[in-house]
Amino acid sequence: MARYTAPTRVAHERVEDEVIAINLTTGTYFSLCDSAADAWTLLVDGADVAGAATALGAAHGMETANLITDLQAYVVALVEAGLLVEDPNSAPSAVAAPPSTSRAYTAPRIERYDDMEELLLLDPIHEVDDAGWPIVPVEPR
Amino acid sequence: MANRPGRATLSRSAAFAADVASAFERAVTATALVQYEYELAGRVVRVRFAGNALADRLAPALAHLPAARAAAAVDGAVLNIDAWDRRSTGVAAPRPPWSTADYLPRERISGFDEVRYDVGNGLLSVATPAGGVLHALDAELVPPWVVRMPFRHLLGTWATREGMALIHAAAVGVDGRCLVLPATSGAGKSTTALTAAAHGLDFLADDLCLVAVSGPTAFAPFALAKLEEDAFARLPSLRSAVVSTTAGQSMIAPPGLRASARVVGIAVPRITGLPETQWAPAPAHTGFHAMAPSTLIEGNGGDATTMRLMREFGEAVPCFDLALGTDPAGVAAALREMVAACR
Repeated sequence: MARYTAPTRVAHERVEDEVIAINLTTGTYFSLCDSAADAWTLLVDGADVAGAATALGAAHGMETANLITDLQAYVVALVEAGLLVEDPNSAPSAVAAPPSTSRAYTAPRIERYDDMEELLLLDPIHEVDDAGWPIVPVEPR
Repeated sequence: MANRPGRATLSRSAAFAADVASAFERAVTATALVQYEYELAGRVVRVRFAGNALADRLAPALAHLPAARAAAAVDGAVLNIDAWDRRSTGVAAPRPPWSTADYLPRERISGFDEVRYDVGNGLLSVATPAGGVLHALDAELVPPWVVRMPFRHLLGTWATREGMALIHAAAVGVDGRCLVLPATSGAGKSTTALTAAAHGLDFLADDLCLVAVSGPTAFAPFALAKLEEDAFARLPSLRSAVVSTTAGQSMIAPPGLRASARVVGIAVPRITGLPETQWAPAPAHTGFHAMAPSTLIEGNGGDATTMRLMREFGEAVPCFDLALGTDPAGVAAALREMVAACR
């Protein structure tokens, strides 16, 4: 099965049960909490969907088959958001236990924050000259 | 003289950076070299201006920094920043090698990760391994936030290389121990920091704070802060600290400015509209969530390494939720309590 990696322009770190992932190009950032954080950690550490489902299932006492559909949808959403890309060169790796199992499993979901992006879009964009530099009217002093 | 690589072997980014550096040298030739050497976080920051026009605008924000000792006596690499403006020197920036289709949000240029270009204000910033170059169309048109916090892209890029982070946060403290207050714009950082300063606490930053994760230690990168006009009703003593006022926003020389302090906690501010200020412990991810996106997205010169440094910083000290009240004395008292509560 496919394995995934985060693109170089996506910065991501985990603190406790939350992963923050930032697309440094677009300014959009994402919060992945609890089961979503665990699934993300497993995936970027080299697990495929089946491996991640097995690890999460073992941690939560659930059937792997019941988790596969959730994780497939999650991976699709992460790829669509630009947070993961398929990594054809990734070799299978041992799947560790998910970092946190203290909370009940919930289907992983992405919280998307575009508020920064909206701020970016408010930046004034002025006319530029042929050289690409802005035209600034020079007023007498 | 060492051989320089021919232009054919340079990447488009490196060739553009070399052209910008050459333009700066021509600007110096056309005017005069104005050079400052500061010490910040135990490192040398060397800022060279072409002429006085831009120096007069930007150097005051760094005037609190002590003059540098000899470069050999400090710990890290020297940060070299060159700056010139077109209007006073007559030297334009080189023609950009990108097209107008390459402009991205937040001053970024597709394919030129080391460049920030503020189109609206005519400010070009190019980071290099040695530091970087800032070009302004007109020194007199440099916007107030750049006058208060010049070279933030170059400082942030350099900070990450030095194992530090230029964090979108205020910082205030007591007796050499401080809190870092991360938040996005409009969350009350500046007003809180200046409220603290007006009530006798140490002031380190109101918008951008330099943090060395080891320690951790906060450094005051800039000597100026901002205050909205309506805040003077609650902080009348700061009237005497106003440097200038533009469009209802004043530039302040904050009282109690302190160059550095040990960070003992992170307090995430939020405005409640209620009279009383309250604070309570919060999980570490609250602080990380408050500082990481706004720091990396708002053009402060950071990358994935900066994010890792912020995570390590967020895990190193306790985090608090700071529910800001409308009573300034209550805000200052709560900040003192939090500092005292941290070991």
